[in-house]
Amino acid sequence: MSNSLERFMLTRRRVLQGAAALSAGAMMGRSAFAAPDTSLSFIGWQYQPEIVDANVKTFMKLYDENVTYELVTGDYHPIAETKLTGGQHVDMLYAEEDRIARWHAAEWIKDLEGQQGIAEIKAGMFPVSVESLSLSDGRMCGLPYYAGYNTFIYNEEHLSKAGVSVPESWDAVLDVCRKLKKDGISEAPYHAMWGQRWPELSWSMFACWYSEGAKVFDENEDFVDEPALRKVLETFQTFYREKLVVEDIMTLPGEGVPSYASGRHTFMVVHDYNHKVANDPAVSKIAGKVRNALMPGATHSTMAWTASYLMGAQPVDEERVWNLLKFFGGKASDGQYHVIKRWALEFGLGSAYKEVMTDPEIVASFSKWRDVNISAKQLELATSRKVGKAIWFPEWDLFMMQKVQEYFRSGSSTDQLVTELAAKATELKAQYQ
Amino acid sequence: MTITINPAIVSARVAKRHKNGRTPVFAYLSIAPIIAIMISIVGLPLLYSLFLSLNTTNPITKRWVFVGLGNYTKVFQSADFWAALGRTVYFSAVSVSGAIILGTVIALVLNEKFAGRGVLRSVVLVPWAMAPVSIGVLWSFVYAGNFGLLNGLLHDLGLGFFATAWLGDGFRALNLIALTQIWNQAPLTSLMLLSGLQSMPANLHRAAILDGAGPIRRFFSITLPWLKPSLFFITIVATINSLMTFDILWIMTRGGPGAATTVLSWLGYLQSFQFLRFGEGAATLYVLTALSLLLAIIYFVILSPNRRHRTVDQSTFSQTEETLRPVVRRHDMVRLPAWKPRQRIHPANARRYGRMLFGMTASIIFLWSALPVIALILISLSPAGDLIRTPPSLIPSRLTFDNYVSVLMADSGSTSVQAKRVPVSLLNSLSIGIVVSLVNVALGTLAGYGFSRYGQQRFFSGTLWALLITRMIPALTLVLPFFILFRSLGLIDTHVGLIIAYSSILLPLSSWMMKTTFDNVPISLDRAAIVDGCTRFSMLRKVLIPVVRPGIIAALIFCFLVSWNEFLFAMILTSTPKTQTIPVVIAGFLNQARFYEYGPLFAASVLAILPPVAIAFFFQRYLVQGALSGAVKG
Repeated sequence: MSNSLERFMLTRRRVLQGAAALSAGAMMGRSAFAAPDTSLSFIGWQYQPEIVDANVKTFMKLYDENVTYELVTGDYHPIAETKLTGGQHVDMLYAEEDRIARWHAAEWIKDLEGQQGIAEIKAGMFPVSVESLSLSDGRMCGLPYYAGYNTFIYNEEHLSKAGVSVPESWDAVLDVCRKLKKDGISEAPYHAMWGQRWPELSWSMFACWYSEGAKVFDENEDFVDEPALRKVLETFQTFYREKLVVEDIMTLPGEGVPSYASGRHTFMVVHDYNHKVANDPAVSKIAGKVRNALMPGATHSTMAWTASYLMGAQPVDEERVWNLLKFFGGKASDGQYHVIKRWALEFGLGSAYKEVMTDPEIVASFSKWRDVNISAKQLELATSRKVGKAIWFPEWDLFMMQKVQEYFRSGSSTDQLVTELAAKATELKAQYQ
Repeated sequence: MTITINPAIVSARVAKRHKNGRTPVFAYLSIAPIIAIMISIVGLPLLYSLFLSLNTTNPITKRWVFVGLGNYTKVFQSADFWAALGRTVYFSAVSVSGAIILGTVIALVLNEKFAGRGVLRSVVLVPWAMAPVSIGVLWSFVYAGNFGLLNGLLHDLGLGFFATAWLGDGFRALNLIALTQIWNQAPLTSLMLLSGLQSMPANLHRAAILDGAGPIRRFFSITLPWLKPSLFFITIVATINSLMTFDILWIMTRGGPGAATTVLSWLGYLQSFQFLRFGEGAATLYVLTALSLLLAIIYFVILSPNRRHRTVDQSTFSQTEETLRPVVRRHDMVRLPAWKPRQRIHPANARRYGRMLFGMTASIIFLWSALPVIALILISLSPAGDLIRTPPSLIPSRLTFDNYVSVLMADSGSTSVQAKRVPVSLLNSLSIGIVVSLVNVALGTLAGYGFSRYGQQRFFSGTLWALLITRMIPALTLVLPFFILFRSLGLIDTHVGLIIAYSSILLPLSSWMMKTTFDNVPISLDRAAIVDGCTRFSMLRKVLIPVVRPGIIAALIFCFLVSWNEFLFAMILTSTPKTQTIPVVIAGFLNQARFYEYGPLFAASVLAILPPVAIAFFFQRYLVQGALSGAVKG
């Protein structure tokens, strides 16, 4: 029976494949017949998929290729992991840097060492991005989709009204917020991404911890209980307790960006590219008034990350997939950064390549909505999250977000929170060994 | 109670069993397809997930260790589990009781004759017809503090001082999610109760009025006992739906703030999919199944319409043969209080106050059901900048169709691929919904006949309950097994795959619905048709199906709506626009980082609810007829 079933399914698939190939051929004309029969499969998350779609088409045209682009809606990483666990074949896929080591350990992706031109590609990138895209043993696993960091932005008009300057420490931020609230300039002067998602509270906390000089994890991937870490936690707990943030900051739609764009808040720690949104008159009530400054804190550092394109463990054709990776995450065969430059110019996404970030066209574009000198300095001070290379990290990360939200809301003790975070890290390390 | 065995009774019962033993082959054939399908599409994945729950698995480390009941032990030792269980119980208690109380009020209003009843019946059904994903999107914007629709309304009404960050407080957030669930579930409850109310003889109330019983006394002494059989099934359905709530939470709070809205279904999702601990996750979700089953048993004991009959039957066993004549049952409803003269409001005033109260209640029901939807429509017709106005307002600064243009016209200059996917996804939802409804109702009708006519036999009743139990298993448990199974069959990202997955949900429901419909058809019709020379199949086709047509239509509508709104399977089992359904596309809008895509998101949400709303408006008559015929009673 199973043989019959298999035969039936096989026949059915063949018929469908044949029909699909004929249709594609009819639609695409002459070039479609030259493209390989087996398409490259590429899955990605939900950020401007229309641009990704257009980029895929450009690649297919330029390389006479055949690519199937799958857009994953919903929680990208859990869904991708479910599909990979279920055995789905993927040639190229998106991932945040904290999934690289995990997926490599699961043998879902392969490293890129030995690929043609990899040394040159590495040399053209900022070291912080090379580190983000590599395994702990230094093997490069992905090419950069974009490079970002959390930036500190403020409403210039609010500060002028209050007659205060840009605060440089977290204590100063707290004092200014109290004044802004007292003066009636802003009911909730501080704003941040505190939702329970990895690009929100996780990145926000690590950026602020690094800005105060906290390591959070040491070289052995052990949690570090240190004064800087506690200071940030306690400051934010105070923000919440004194209602210097909106009460529903942890469940706001749109990562809290619409709330900031409404003009109600003064400060925000936010993804650098959202600064462009805050200064866009079409969607922001405070366009033109939002400036960037170095992160407050003892070190003024922040968290920088590099999102990646990874190569599936069993590519249909390594050379073809490498071309696809290079087209999206580097230079195309014509020597142009087609994809990366487009992200930068149209959406304000930073790049891991020095050459791109010094491109006059991109510098001019970024200068319209942010102070590029400050952002360059901020990037110099940025820290890469090394602990993201621990395969258990995503699990700790979600636990941390839950506990930190509870800590802010309940006003519970810092000792208890820190103990729980340390214990969870130890437990997970043991579990994954 | 002593039990004495009377040989005459025993021989009579044995004879009856023999008679029942001659079950026609057609009865078995009628339920065979559904059993075969359920075993193949639910049985295997279920066994796989049960097996997973007995193992510790980690696809990252490739570790797979059989731990027996270790996962269950671990789950029961976890403080997070007990906290989530507490929230689950609270959430379910609030949402089930809220849905039943509100559903009862709505049903009582809709049972009266008044101008605009048809419109109100249609409006009331809208929240039930909407996809949970759309509901989550809508209500997350209703409750949003700074620019929320609720706060906008309060400011528009001059009540801005009541505006607050609604989801800011954890306990309030849990209650507001429960309120959202009530909004979604109360219409189904009211529809089921309406069927009960419409079949209640009016003379019962007339007699009670003559006896001096007031409306409250009549409600508790006549109406409520009459509705008891419906309430049993409603409570089970509402409880299962509450315990399995996932989509709304996923969109609105993701278990937060903190863990304030982390219920068991969300905890199971985190363990299974965020942490890839499929064993532990499956164990948590099976505990949820056990909880559903336990509650169903408790409801059965408390509310089952057969309980009283069974007690009577058991008592007859200890009696002699002479006492075996039919027992005359006295309903509670006839035990009315002694007539007591009391101070009355003047009848004219009483009628006037009654009309006012009724009108007010009907208006509140209308606003409760329609206002969030009207707000959604208004915001979909507003420019993007209106979303971030200070203070917030529901009234658009100007009306624009830009959002609809960007959703519907691929070359309109829109930046959204999701927007371009809306028309295809609508077609996908429509075609899949139609096929799923037809297949499931056809098979459900066949099986419903068998279950109805031979439901007293252990095999049939056992199978029927087994089907209901499959509804108590969270869909999350089946996602990974489905994915693996479908992948091996080449069914991932196909319409057929989705149709099969949806059938796993709908076959039990359609069978139950049609079984109850056939229960209301006298068996004498079957006998007459057989006597007239019909085969059993032609009797079903030519005689019974025309009789139960309203029930079939109601079941078709019900299946279509469930298929239209399903999200989880569609999200996992589809990957390209050629098969993605509208809830997946709507969810996709949520994840687009550029927040001004919310304009198209609201437009897409309105478009997504149009077909279900159209069904609610144009087919509410059939749904009510179906309810009367028993289909929607379950």
